[in-house]
Amino acid sequence: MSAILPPSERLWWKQPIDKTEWAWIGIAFVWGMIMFVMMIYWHVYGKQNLSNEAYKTTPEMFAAKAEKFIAENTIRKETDQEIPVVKVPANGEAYLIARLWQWYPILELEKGKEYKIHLSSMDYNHGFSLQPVNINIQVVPGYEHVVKMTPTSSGTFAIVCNEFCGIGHHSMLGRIYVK
Amino acid sequence: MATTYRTCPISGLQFEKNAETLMRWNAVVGVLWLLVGGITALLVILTRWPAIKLLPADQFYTILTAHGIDMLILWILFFEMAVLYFASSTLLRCRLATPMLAWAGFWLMVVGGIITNIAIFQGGSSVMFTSYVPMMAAPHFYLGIILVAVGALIGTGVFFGTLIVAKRDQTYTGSLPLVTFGALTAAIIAVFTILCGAGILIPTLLWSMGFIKEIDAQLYRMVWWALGHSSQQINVAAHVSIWYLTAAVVFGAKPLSEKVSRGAFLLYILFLQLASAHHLLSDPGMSAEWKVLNTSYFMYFAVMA
Repeated sequence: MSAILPPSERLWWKQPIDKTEWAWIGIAFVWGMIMFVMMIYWHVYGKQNLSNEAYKTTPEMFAAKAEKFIAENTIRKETDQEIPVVKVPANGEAYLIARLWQWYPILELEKGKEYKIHLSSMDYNHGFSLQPVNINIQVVPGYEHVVKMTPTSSGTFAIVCNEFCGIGHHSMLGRIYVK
Repeated sequence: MATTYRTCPISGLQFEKNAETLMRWNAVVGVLWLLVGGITALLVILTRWPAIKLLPADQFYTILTAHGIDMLILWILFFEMAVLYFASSTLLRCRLATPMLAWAGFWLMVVGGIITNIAIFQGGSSVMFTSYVPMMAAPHFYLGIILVAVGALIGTGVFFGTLIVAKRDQTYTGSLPLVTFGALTAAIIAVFTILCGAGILIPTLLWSMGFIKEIDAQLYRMVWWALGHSSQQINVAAHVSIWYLTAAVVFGAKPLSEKVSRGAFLLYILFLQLASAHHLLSDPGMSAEWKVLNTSYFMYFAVMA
């Protein structure tokens, strides 16, 4: 019985399976079940989890909501691009725009409070990657992705774009402050 | 074309002349794409290496796009065609179903591959392997990939045809050899993959030419990954078959159990596609339950396989 010839036993599906092979099948099956249970366990008890909340939107609609939010909550401007720093009301909602090649605005959050961050793109597909905590979320044009976040430590966090979006991709950096 | 056979003095395998020439051309062109992919890989490494930082951003993104396409589509698909012709014509000791069509498929793939590479190296199509909309490449970028896909689909059809020829001419008795069975697995996955690819890249081509106004970015991501992920699974099914082949030819090894090996290939066909969902884990629009189900429970059947 060679792999390059037709099976020598015509009724190959009636041949018994060797003990060693059963052992491997058993190991693979048990491991698969463990991982399956882990995924559900992690979804319920894990500390970083995905949001189920998303809406269809348009760049215009999302930008209008974001601009209103920024106008009401800006506390100062930063960097040579004059990007507004927005203090998000405690336990409130925040809007973050991804566009070529900028995260807009800079958000200021408070440690221990829960926020709902609304994410959308004005143009291409972008990737929200919060560093160094390594939280990664797709930012797709036409979709408003709402993510719940509770900062657990204070400091300055960087937002890196992790989905290729053209020539300025590597310079698309943003910031979140946690007080 | 006349059918003539020769027996390889080393392996004792019997090669049909048309099939052998096709195998050689497909394999050699595949390896040439691997070479281009390898050179671009070197340029990627030398740019990402902070001490050297060889290329500026625009050139870097161009060669990174070329690297992805040449490695993940062209090298894999060309070599896959050689494997399919070998697993059917040589292992079943029969003629190739329609050598003329196989050549048509081959040349479509060659022309398509070159067109896409021209689009990339002209600089206006640095959109990466994924080419997520609405980032737009030149129309001939998509056109080239579509031609390659059509060519590969023809090659897969010739493979299926050859299986029928062998069955009809009774060149073997009983079931297909395991390696051919594995190649059949790869071919079935290839048909699914190529049709999904056509399903998203043809509208994208029309969109880049201005005939369609908009393509939903999330829909693109979902359908595209049925191409992007599954195309690598064609490769997995084919290379597992080659492992069996190598073990059989070099060591005279035989599979422990035909039943288990074939069952594994079958599970792979049935459940593998769901695994594409792991590329959509952090996307908006799909529920957490959908993500958990698609990337775990059923995918494990494929992983087990």
